[in-house]
Amino acid sequence: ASFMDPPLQFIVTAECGRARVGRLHLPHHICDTPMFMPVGTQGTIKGLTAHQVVDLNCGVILGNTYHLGHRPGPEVMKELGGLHEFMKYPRAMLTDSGGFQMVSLLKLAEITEEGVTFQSPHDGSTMLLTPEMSMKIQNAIGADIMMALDDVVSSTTTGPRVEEAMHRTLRWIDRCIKAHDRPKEQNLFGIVQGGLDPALRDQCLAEMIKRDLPGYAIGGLSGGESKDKFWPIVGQCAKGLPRNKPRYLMGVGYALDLVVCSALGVDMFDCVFPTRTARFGTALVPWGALQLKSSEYAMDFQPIDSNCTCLVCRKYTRAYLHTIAGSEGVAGQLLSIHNIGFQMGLMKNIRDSITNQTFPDFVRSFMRQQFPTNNAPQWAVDALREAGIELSNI
Amino acid sequence: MLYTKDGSPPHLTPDLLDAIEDVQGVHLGLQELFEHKDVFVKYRQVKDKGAHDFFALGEHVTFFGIRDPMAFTESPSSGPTQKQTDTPQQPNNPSQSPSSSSSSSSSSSSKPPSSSPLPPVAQGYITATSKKGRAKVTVQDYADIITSLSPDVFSGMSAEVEWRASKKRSHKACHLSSDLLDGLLALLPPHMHQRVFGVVSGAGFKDQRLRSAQDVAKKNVAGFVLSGFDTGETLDERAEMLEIIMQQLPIDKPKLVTGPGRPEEVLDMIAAGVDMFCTYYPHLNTQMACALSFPVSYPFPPSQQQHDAHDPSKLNLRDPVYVLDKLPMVPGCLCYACRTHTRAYVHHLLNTHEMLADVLLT
Repeated sequence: ASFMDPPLQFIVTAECGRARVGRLHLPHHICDTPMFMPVGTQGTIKGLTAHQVVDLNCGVILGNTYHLGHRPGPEVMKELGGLHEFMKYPRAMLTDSGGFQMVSLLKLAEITEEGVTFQSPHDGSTMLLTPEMSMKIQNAIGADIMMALDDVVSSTTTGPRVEEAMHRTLRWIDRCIKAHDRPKEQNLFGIVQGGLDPALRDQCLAEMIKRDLPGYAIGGLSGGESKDKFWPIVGQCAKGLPRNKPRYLMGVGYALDLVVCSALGVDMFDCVFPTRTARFGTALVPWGALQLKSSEYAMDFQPIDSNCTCLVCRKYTRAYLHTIAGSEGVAGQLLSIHNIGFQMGLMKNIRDSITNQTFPDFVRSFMRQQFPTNNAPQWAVDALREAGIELSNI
Repeated sequence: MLYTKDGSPPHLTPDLLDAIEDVQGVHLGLQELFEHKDVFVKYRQVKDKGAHDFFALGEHVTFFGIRDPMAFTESPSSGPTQKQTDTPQQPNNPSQSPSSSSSSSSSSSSKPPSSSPLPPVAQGYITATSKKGRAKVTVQDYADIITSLSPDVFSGMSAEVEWRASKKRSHKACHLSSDLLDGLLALLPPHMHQRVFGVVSGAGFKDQRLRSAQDVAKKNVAGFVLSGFDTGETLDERAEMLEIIMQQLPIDKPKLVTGPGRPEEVLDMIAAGVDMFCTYYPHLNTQMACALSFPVSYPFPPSQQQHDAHDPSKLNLRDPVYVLDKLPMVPGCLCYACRTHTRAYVHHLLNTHEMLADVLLT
C-alpha cells in the first residue's frame, strides 16, 4: 500500500447528465467509478481465491466488521497484519461498520445511545458494538475505506424512531471521527440516514457534509421499501452530496438498480446478490437471469451468454451447469465467477458510455434487453426521466 | 487419477485445476454420470464432442470407471448371466449409430417378431447407483455413454463385489464381467477397442482371481482394472492376491486399481506392479480439514516438527494451535495455497465454515 496523503483522492473524469465517471485513488488500488463491489463477508468471497477475484477485475471488495470482529477478532487480525495481509488480496477493501446486522439480526440486537448489543447467533455470547469499538475493529482490519457506525432503521419503519436514528447517527459520526486511529491510512465514510422522509434526509445531508469526510454513503435503503419510494431518496441524496466526493449506495446490486442509480449520480455499490444467487444455481445475463436448475437447460449446449468472455462461458455449456447447479461445490464457484464478471462488465459498459457521451443510448438499449415487451417498471421510467433519460415507450 | 464429482474435481474450477502441476488424469464415474446419459448422447449428436469438452477437462487423460472411488456400493444381483459362454450372439447392428434410443432393447432392429428370448448377453446388465436411485445399465447403454463421452480409456463393465462376498456371488460376477466385455466390444466401433481395460474379478478367492486374470489376459485390451480392492481385505491378503494376479497379466499393459489412497498403501501397490490409481483420499482429507504433509521427494528431509503427533502425514487445520501461525500449510510446497496463504487463514476459513477452506485444502 502506498502512503498517500490524503488516503483518498477522487476526480470526476467525465459526466453525462447526472451520471459521472470518476477515478478513485485509494491506498491499495486505483479504481474507476461507477463501480460494483462484491462482498466477502468473512474474509473471503465465498469459494473464490483472491487471485480469481483480481482476475475478474474487481477493484474494491467488502469485509464485514461484525463477523470479522467475532472471528478471528481484532487482536488476531492485527497480529496477522490486517485483512489485506490475511486474505492476500492486493487491491482495495471496504469494511461495513457492523450496523447493517442491526437491521438484519434485530431480534438479537438492542440499541441504546451507547451502542448496539448483539447476541451472536453462533454461540449466544453478547457483544456490545459502540462507535469506538467499531472503529477499533476496522482499524485492526485496515481496509482502505471504513464505514461509520450508524443507527440503522428498517426502511419500512415509520414514526419518531426514524428521526431518533438520524440524530443518533450524527452523534455517532462524531464519536467515530474521534475514535478513528488511522486517518492517514484509512478513509472514514459517513452514512446519510433519515428513512424515507425527505426533510430528515436533508437535515442529515447538511450535517454530514459539515464533517467534511472523504466520502459518503446513502444508507437505510434497499431493505424492503417500495421502489417508487426508494429512487427519489437516492436521487435527493446523490444530488445533495458534494460533487467531488464519492457517493456510495449501500446494498444495491440488481442490474436495473445499478443502471438507474448510476444515472442518478451514484458512484459505488455493493451487494451479496450476484454471489448468493450463484450458489442457488442462477446465472445473470443481460436480458435477465437463467435458473439453471430448470430442466429446460438439460440439453442446452450454448454457454450461459455467448457474448460473455468469462472462463465459465468459454468452457462450459448450460447443460453441464444444469447437472451441477445448486449442489455444493464447484457449481457455486463457477456461477460466482460468471456473475461477478457480469456485474463488472455491466459497470464497465456504464462507465464507457458515460465517457463516450452515449450513456442515454446505453440505458435505452439495456432497458430494451431487460424488458423486451416494453414492460419496464414505472419506477425505473420515472427515475430515469428525473435523471434526464427518456425511454422511448410506445 | 483425480477424483471427480459429477465430472469436475471437487472445488476446482478449470483455472485452479490447471495450476496444480503433476495432475495428469481424472476419473469419471459411471455411478453418478449415468443419469445424464441422454444429455451426453445428444451432445455428441449435436456438437460431436465428448467428455473433455463437456467437463472442460483440457489436456487431462480421462478414465471412465465403474466403481465410485468415494462410495463403494456393492452391486445387487446383476442381470442373469447365460449358462454357457459360447452362444454365438447376434451383434446388435454395429453400424447403428450410438445415438439411437437407449431405452429400447438393443436388438430391437434385428429382432424377429417371435417370442424367442433375447441373446443372453443382451440381458446382462450392471447397475448404477446415484442420488436418484438405482438404474439398470445394459451393454447398449454403456456403449452409448462410452461412444458419446469418448473417454481416453475406460473400464469394461463389471459387477462390484466385496472381498468377503460369497463364492457363488463372486463367481457370477466373474462371468458377468467376461461376457459383458465381449458384448461391449461387439457394439463399439473398432477404434474404441484399444481403449478398454479388461476387468479382473474374483473377490477374495484365489482360484477365481487366477481364472479371471488368465481369461482377461487373453483378450485384446489396452490394460486391466483390478476390481474389488479396498473392500475389506487385509494388507497381507491384498499383497498376496496382487502377486497371483500380476503373474497372469502381460507386463506391458497398465494396471489400474480404484480405492486405496493412503501413501503407504499406494507405494506397496506400485511395488506390486500397479500403475494407475483412482482414489478420493485427498478429497477425504479435505473434508476432514486436514492438509496432507508427508514428504514426497527423496531424500526425505529430517523429520519436521509436526503439531499433530499422532499422524505425521497430515495437519488438522481446525486445531486452535494454528490461529496465529503464519507459515504456509506445508513449507516448501509449491501449490497455490501454500505459496499464497497461511495456516492461520485456512484455520479461520474452517472456523467460519467458508467454502474457500475446501478449495485451498483441495
